[in-house]
Amino acid sequence: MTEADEVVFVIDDDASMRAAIKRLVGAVGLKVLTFASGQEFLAGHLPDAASCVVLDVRLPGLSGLDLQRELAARAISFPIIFITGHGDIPMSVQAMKAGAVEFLTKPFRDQDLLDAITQALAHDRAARATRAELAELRGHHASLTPREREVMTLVVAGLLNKQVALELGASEKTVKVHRGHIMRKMRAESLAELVRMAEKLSRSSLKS
Amino acid sequence: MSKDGDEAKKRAAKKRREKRSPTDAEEALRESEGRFRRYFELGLIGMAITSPTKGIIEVNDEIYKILGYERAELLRMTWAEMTHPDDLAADVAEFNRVIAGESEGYVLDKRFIRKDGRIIYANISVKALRRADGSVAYFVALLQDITERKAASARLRRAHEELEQRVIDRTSQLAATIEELSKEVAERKQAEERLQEYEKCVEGLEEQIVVVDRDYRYLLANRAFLNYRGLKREQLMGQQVPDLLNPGVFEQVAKKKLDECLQGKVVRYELRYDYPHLGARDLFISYFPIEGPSGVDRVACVLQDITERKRAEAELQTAQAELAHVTRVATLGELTASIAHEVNQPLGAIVTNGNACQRLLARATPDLEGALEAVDAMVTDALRAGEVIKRMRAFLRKTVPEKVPVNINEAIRGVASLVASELVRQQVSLRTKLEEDISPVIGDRVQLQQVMLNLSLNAIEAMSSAAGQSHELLLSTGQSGADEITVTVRDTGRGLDPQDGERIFDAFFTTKEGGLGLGLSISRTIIEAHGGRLWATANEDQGATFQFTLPAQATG
Repeated sequence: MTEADEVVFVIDDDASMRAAIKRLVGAVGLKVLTFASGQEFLAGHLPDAASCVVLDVRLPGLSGLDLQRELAARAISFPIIFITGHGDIPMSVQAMKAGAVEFLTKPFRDQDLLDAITQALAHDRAARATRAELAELRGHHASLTPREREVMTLVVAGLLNKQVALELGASEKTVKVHRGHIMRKMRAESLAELVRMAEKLSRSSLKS
Repeated sequence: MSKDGDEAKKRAAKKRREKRSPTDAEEALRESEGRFRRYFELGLIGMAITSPTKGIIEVNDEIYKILGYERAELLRMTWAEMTHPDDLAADVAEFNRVIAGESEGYVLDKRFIRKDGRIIYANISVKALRRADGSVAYFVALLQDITERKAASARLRRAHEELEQRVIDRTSQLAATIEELSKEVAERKQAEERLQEYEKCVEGLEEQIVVVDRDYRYLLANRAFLNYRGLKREQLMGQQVPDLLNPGVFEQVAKKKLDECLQGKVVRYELRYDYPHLGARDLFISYFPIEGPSGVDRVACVLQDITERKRAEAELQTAQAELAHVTRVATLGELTASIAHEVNQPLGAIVTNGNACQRLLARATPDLEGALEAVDAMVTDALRAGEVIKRMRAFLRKTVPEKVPVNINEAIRGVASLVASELVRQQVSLRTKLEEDISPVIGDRVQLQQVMLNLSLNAIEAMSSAAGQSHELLLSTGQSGADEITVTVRDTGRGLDPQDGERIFDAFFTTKEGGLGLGLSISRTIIEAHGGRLWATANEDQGATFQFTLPAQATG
C-alpha cells in the first residue's frame, strides 16, 4: 500500500464545484473520486487505501451531517472535511463534535483545503497503521493456548513466576516454559513490550 | 159596430125616456126587461146568467165565441170547470162572499180554458140578484175577452221595459265614458307630472345628455351638457355635432360611433376630451338608438365624466403596485439564505478553479490544457452567478404592471429556479405537472410569479415545520375551461388551521414568526386584479392546496 493509492472523495451536488475541487486536488497530484450525493457515495465501491471525504453540508436527500452519522453507524471511519455554502455555526459545531477534521466555508482558500486534506490523509494513514498493528497483535494473541493467555494476563499484571505458579497451582518451571512460548508467539522482545501489547489489546477490546 | 149606429140608438133611447110616463110602472118594467134582453142579445159583451151552484143558466152568443163551447154544452157545465185552476180560488172566494151576503158582486180578471184548450184572459163583472129572503136567486155575469188587451199590454210593458233597459244601458255607457274620460284626464295629468319629474331629473343629472338626429343636429340637451360646454340652450339649438366638437374628434371618433348607433346598436366607449374651459376630462360615452316611425332616427347620448374615477383607479393601481413591490422585496428577503447560497456556489467554484489554474500553471511543466479548462469553468460560473442576480433584479424591478401575454408554465419554471436551493435547504422535493399547450394569460409576469413564489415559499415553510420525512411541493397547471386556466400549489405540510379560514387572506394576518402577513393578501389582490380567484383548501391526507384561476386567451 503506497501513498499513490490514497484517494480523496468529493461529495457535492453542485457539478461545477465538484469539478473545481477535483481539478484543484488533482493539481497537487492526489487521486480524486467525485459523487453528487451521499447515496451515490454509499453505493460506490470504496478502494482499500488511506482516504478522506470532502463533504458538502447541504445536499439534497441525505444531508452531509446525515451521511456523517450513517458512515459512523457503518463503522466507516474516513476523516471528513466539511465544506458549506455559508457559515453555519451550529452546524459546524455539530459536525466537529461528530469528528469532522475541518469545516470550511465556500469560497475557501485552496491552501486551507489542501492542508486539511493532507492532515486528514495523514490521520487516516496513521489510523490504518494502528488498525493493522492491532489486527496483527490480535492474531498473535489468538495463537496462544488458553493456559498461555492466563499466564500472560498474570505476568503483565506484574506477578513474578513464583506468584503465577502459586496462583495457577502449577510449578514455577512450567510457568517459565509458558512464558517463553508467550514471548515468542507474541513476538515480544521484552516484558515491557509485552505489557504495552496487552494494553493495546485491552484498550481495543474495551472500545469494541 | 158603427159609431153612427151607436149614436142613433142613444138618441132613440132618450126619446123613449122622454115619452115614458112615471105612472105606468108595468110598462116601465116590461121596457126594462126588454132592454136587458136586447143588451143580452146584442153581443156587445159576453153575458151569462149563472146559478148559486155555479151552473150556467143562460148565455148569450158572445160567450160561445169567447169560450168556444156550444150553448147546449155550456148549459151542462159550471163556470168553475172552465176556469184556469190557478185563478179558481180567487173567483170562488169572491163568489162565496156574495153567497154569504157580504157583497153584492165583484169584478176580477181571470183566465178561462176554451174548449180548444187555448187560454184566454177575461174580465168578469158579477152581480147577484137576490130573492126577498136575501138568498141569491141568480147571478148576472158580464165577461169580456181581454186576451188581446192583455197581450197588447204585455207587449207594451215589454216595450216599456226594453226602453227602460235601453235607457239604463245608455246611462251606464255614458257613465263609463265619463269615468274613462276622467281617468284619461287624470292619467294625462299624471303623465305630465311624470314628464316634469323626468325633465327635472334629467336636468339635475351630472351626466351630460343630448339627443341628436340623423343629421347630427342637436334636438335636446340637459343642463349638464350646456354647462360643460359653457353654452346657453338657444345657442346650441340648430347646431350640429361637428360644429361643437374639437377638430378631428368628430371625423375620427364620434361620427363612426354615431353611425353605428343609428344602425340600431348601443355603443359605448371611453374618450379623453379637451374642453375649452374645463380642460381634459375622461368621458365614458354611451349612445342609445331611439326608434322613430321609420326606424332609428335619433340617438340619445349620455356622457359620464369619469376623470376622478380614473384618477382614483390609477392611484389605487400605483398603490397596489407599490405594495406588491414591497411584499416582493419581503418575499425575496425570506429567500436571502438561498440566494446567497446560489451566488456563493459559483463564486466558490470560481475561486477554487482559479487556485487550481494557478497551481497548474506554476508546475515545472505548466498544464496549459488543464488551466484552460479551469478558466472556461470560471467563465461559466461567473455567468451563472450573474444570472442569479439578473433574475432577482427582474423580480424586484419596480415598474407599472404590464398587460402582456404570459406563458404560465414558463413563469412557473422561473419560480421553480428561484426556490430550487430553498427546496434543497428545507429537504423538500419538487414535482411539476405543467399542461402542455396551455393558453396564455394576459397580465404582469412578475406579479404572477410573485404570487406563485409566495405560495411556494409558504408551502415550503409549512413543510419544514411539519412532521414527516419526505415532503413534496407540487406545482401544476391546467386548462380549466376554454378561457380559464388553473394553477395549483400543493404541499404536504402542517395544513390549514380551520379556525383561520379565510382570515389567512387578510392583510397583516400571519402564522409565521416574523411574517409580514401581506403575502397572501397581496397575492389575492394580484390575482383578482387579473380577473381570477385565489383560494385554499385543506388536503384530505396532509397539507394544504392553494389554487388560483386566471382568465386565458381562448386558443382558436
